[in-house]
Amino acid sequence: MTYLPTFQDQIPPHLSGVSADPQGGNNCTCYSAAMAADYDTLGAVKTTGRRIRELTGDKIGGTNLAQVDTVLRDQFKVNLDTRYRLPWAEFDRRIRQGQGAILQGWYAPIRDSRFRGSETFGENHAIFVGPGYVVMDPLCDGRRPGIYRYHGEAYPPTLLKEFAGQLLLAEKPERRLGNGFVYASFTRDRKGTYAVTIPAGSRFRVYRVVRGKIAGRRWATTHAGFTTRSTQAALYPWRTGTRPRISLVRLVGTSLNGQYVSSRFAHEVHP
Amino acid sequence: VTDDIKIEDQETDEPDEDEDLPEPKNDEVEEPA
Repeated sequence: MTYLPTFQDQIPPHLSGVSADPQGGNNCTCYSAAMAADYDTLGAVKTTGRRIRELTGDKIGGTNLAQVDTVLRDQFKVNLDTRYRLPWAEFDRRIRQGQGAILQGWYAPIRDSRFRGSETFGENHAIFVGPGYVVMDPLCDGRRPGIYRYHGEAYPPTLLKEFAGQLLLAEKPERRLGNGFVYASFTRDRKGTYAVTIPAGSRFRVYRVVRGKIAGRRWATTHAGFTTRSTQAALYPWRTGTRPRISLVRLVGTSLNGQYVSSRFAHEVHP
Repeated sequence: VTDDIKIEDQETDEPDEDEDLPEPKNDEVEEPA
């Protein structure tokens, strides 16, 4: 039997029993993150979207994947694999294989379907997608007639693909992610191990990470290419400056043992 | 381990492909009165 996390709804008064959250309307990413932590740990970590929001230290507007990724890693020891512009096919493969994910997207396509969690809201939103496309949308508490109520049903993947691709990245000028791509934070894959493949003739960056922070990077080349084991991907901050965090994996084996490369090169290996 | 990987001596500041991607926040859901 597949484990499913406890559903959490974001709009007070909460039907799922979590205490009323005055910022509930802003906290869909945090509620989705609470469900992701529950799923990742098979119920060992039970927290709430409200608590995750408090731990971000950000009191204004909504939140993003990087913020909840940081809170779950630092406060709950849950390492999500956060990916930007991941191809839909890779997202689809992971969900069918049993991973869960916080998925960001533009809500209008879901609002206009029978799965609507609001009659009016149609902007950037986040949901938890469980294994087999069972979706936990924190808006779907059935609080009124016409509002969908979560009951463990799988959503059509095509609907989620549309939601994901319309994610609004910037307002002026308007920039959307694009159909066929996703911004998502994945829970762990309990079955898989990870490997990195660098194609023949590549020039790629090698990162040095000291005590969890990026200390520098250099270019490297390989003529023959190689495949080697790696850790699961995680977002790493820079030791100095305010540059964005980068999703990296640590290499195991080869002369680069212990160094890091972009998680773009990583893939799962199933025995 | 033998491989043909060569690392350059100098550090690079050239941004990685993932580095300048926006990190959008979710929007607020406002309930009808």
